[in-house]
Amino acid sequence: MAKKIRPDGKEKVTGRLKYLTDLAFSNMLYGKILRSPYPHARILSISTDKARQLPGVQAVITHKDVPGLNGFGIVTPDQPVLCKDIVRYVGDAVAAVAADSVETATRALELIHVQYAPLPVLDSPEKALEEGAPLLHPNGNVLHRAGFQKGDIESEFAKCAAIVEETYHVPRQLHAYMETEGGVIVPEKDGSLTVYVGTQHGFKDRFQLARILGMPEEHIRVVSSPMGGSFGGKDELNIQPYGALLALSTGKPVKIHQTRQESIRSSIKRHPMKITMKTGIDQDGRLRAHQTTIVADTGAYATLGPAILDFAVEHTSGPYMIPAVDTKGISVFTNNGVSGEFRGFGGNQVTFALEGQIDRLAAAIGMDSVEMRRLNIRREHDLGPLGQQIAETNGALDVLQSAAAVYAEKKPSSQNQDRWKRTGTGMAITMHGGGLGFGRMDPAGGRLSLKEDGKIEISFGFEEAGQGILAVIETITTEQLGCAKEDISIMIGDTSLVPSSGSTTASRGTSMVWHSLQRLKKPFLQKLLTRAARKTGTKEGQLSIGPGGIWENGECRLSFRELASEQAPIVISTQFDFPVSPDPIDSAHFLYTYSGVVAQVEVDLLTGRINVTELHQSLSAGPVVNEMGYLGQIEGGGVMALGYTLMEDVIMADGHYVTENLDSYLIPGIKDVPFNLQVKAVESLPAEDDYGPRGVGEIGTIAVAPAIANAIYDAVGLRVSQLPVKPETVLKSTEERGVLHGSQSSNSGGN
Amino acid sequence: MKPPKFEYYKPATLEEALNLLEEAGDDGKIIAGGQSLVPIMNMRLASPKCLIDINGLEELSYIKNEDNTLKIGTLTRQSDVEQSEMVANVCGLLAEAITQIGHVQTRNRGTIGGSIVHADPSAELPLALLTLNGSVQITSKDEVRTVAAEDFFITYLTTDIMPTEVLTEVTIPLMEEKSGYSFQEVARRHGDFALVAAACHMTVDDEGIITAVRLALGGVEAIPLLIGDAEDILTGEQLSDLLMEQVTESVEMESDPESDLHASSEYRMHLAKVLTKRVLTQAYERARG
Amino acid sequence: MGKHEIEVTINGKVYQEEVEPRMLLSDFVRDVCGLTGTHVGCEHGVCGACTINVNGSAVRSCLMFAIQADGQQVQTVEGLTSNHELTDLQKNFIECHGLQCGFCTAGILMSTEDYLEKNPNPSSKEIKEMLSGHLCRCTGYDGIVKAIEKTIEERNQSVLS
Repeated sequence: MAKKIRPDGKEKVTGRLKYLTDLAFSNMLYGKILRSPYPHARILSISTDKARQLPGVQAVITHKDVPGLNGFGIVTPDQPVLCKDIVRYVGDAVAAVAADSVETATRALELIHVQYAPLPVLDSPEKALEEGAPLLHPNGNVLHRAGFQKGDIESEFAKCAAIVEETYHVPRQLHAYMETEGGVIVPEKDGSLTVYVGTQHGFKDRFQLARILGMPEEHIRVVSSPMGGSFGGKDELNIQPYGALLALSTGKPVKIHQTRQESIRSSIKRHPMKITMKTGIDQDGRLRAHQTTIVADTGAYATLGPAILDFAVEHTSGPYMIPAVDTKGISVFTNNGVSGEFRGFGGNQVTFALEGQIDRLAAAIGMDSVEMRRLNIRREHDLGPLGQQIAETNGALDVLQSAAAVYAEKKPSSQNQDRWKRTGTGMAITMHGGGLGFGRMDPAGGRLSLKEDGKIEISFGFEEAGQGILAVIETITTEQLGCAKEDISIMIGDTSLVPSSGSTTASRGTSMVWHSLQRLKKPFLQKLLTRAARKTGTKEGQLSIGPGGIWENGECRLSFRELASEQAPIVISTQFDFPVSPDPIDSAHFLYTYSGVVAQVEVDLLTGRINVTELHQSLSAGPVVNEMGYLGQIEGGGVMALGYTLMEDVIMADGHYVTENLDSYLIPGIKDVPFNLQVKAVESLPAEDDYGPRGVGEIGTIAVAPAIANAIYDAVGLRVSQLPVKPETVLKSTEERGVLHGSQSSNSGGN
Repeated sequence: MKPPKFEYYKPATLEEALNLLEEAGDDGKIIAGGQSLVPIMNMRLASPKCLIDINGLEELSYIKNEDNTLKIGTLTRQSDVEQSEMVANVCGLLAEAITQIGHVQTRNRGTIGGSIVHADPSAELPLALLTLNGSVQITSKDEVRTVAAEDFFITYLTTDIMPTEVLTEVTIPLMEEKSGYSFQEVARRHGDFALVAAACHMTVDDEGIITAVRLALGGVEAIPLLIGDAEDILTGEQLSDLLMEQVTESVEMESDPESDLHASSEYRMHLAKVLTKRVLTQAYERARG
Repeated sequence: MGKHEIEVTINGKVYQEEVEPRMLLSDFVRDVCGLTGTHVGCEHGVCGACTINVNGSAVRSCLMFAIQADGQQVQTVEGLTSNHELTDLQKNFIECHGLQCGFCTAGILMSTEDYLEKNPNPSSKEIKEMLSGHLCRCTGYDGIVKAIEKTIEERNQSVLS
């Protein structure tokens, strides 16, 4: 494991790195977007005259000004760029303005007069599914149904010694990337358009923008990196269409950078879900039947809602082998904010429910929960959760063993020294699929070139959002080629310069960089050595690639610059698909990562406050590419999940955001973070595995919530079924059960 | 979102500031540290037409101990009070309260007077001032008047100060020997506004008999709330569970916390009682040494 | 009343500009002076991304108007580095992986430098207290604390030797 620093570190600590929202161009205008004040309404009229007359305003656009398709959405373009007749949520855009200052643009929005006729607000899936509910989309209020059945559920339930049924509620989580959506869109002299806006898939943005603008894709260049965080949230289009339309209509660069409030209002969030699980276990501790209903609030538009529900369905039984599984999921349109892509992609929600079931079942039959997990866990050759063949590893058992060792040390939970506090330990495990799944276009690719200046350029269509893809590319490229980091230059995030590599999502990046290098390395090195042999007059077999150039007998014979000089660049490209299961099961995944989490909490019996004191995460995701990047993903993911568990909730009431900014939407600060944060990578893979390192962008967020929830139970006996866990809930539960009185003694109020 | 337009003046003297205030009338608003005002202006929840910036009035920045009274100029930064050894030595409660205001970076700019005039019912300084039986000096063109903290806070974000007046100084009578204090709060996240805060100052004789006590709570009413009954219940007594129970009954009678998205009224009430016991216990223990 | 002329010294360079009173110092630094190393994340004082040093104190630049910085000395992240030489703190942020997306980093560096100047030997609790004024969504804070602790340790060693 090489402890390599990030290539972008220096630019970031000096403030020299230009994020796309830092860019400025001469004659640049500022754009603002007018969004609906109603969660559901009919638009009667839009009057932009007054706004147009305001000095400094250069363009005001509405639905009439969209030349191409007035809609976006990665799979289904059902979200209007600019609404014409109906608004379906408070983030819906109705008009946009470009002006010579942010202040003027803001003022102009106030001068646009839109008449609305409010319509009934469907602020929950239940309301949206009611008979006679107004239809939000032509095909009704159901975005997607998904399910999976195997075995005979009823007869398996009949064999059970205990059955646990529980309904779990999980909140709407905000990505809370520190950099809100934004950038600059520049109309070029040749009629083309350059879009400097962060996204997780530049080529997809280009495709969507071409469709909206009625422009050939080749006339649009998307510069999509770097970003100040994304976590899935900038995967879908956000401000790009408005900036592009305004730039085209004014002929000037237009900058849009959403305020935090605008961002919360319009951005996608993690799906709130209501998950009911009925799970049965026999007297030997074997899981027999697992029945799940998932109801997801997908908000007003589709984005990747269907795929997220499919993912949740696939991960409903986690790393356990259960003979009968019956899962039904429904993703429902409402007038709430749009739910969509978010680190974990539906896995977080169902894992919270599943691992809650596991602990409840173990308690129900009086079995140790680790033992019970071990008894039911999938083994190397077992099929995947949808019955598909998957890349065989022993990851599930590996992380269970690793977590169990930590858990054993922490158990039994000790009475806290402070008698008003209780300590508890909990664990949870999970498996998580990488890539988009069977049946979905999931192309990848990369390119290696020896440039005229002697640099080896490695390029991918990926984006750097902080996750560390640059460090991964640098590490894998130098390790695979044998050159030094000074020898290479990395090119990403610019559709005019890089090959398509698919999306920077779904824990794909690390994996796809490694796979690309496996394909590129041999032909590229071969070409270098052939040329070197010709230049030096040495036999190819005696030459090798090393730091700085071509080596022979322990000496550098020829620098890369010399090798490159006066000759055409050497270019090798590859295109391939993310590996999928040989079994044609729709949306099923093939490459899985695994995690086992142990959390320790301290609960204050008098205030109900929960303090996570330790968080141990064990991972199985193949070899670690970049140690610090790996740690950062797992620790950071863990803390993000801690927030999901204890404090984060984008509250909506009647279709309006109640939490509008970072003063009311709380994300963890340093004092919320456990003092003891441990990450253990179990790197071993079967000898025959040739899939290399797996991405770890998501896995660190999946099993943390149930581990904390199980720790809370261990501490105070509260079975958590709703996130975030509020101190009030803890207090109510402990008071009802007399936990407090159990520890009350003679005198003071404690402290 | 950025603030709407306003006019800006930066007076060089207090007199100039008072003149400007009088001219501006109801449109005028003093800005000192701005750590409460600017956020609400940025969110357009406040839109003063005329800002009078008193950051140039350096004569209003001081910390003095005169005649056993702590005097702090209104413009003194919270971090200056936090770092003052003198304050730590003579007024532990204030020192303890200060560290719980916002964050290091907001205390570097935020002022003593600004926080008190803003009068958020869950803020630390108004609560500390009330508990310590402090008062404020208010200056206008015509007079300088002194108002006790007990009379200063009128309702939510509203004080006794008139549009033409400036809070110029905060005064706090200093602790006697054998006194103890405690300031505790519960917030959803560290540095955020407290859900409930409690403060207590107490003097105790050699036998452990409480000779004087002031207990106040923040976040349970529209203003910081002095629990007057605490004095009647505890004076002349040693602290006991029974007496603390009686005090919490008074707390329950006198408080009427609101519900919001961070906590329900019931939870705030519960915290008020828990924190009441905690600050009484800690103040008593400290007073007894 | 329209614009006011102000003169602010940032990283040793004098900027003379006309501003509206409502212009935030954060916008002045970024948009007028082009010093985009300072970032804004919430514009109401919660996230700490925009923290800069004004007259020797780390403050939120979104909670000050540019006009209030008239005649004052300001330092931003761009001013930490002289002659492209990284400070020990900057180096340690890179080496300890104290950053990922880097958007919050400038603010944290500005707070930390100011804090360590005034408190060269803070306890772990004090470091956390200082950092509690900053939100980071990527790292989980572990690398940030390590970077600061390493810097303190190295500075102490260099004082001793």
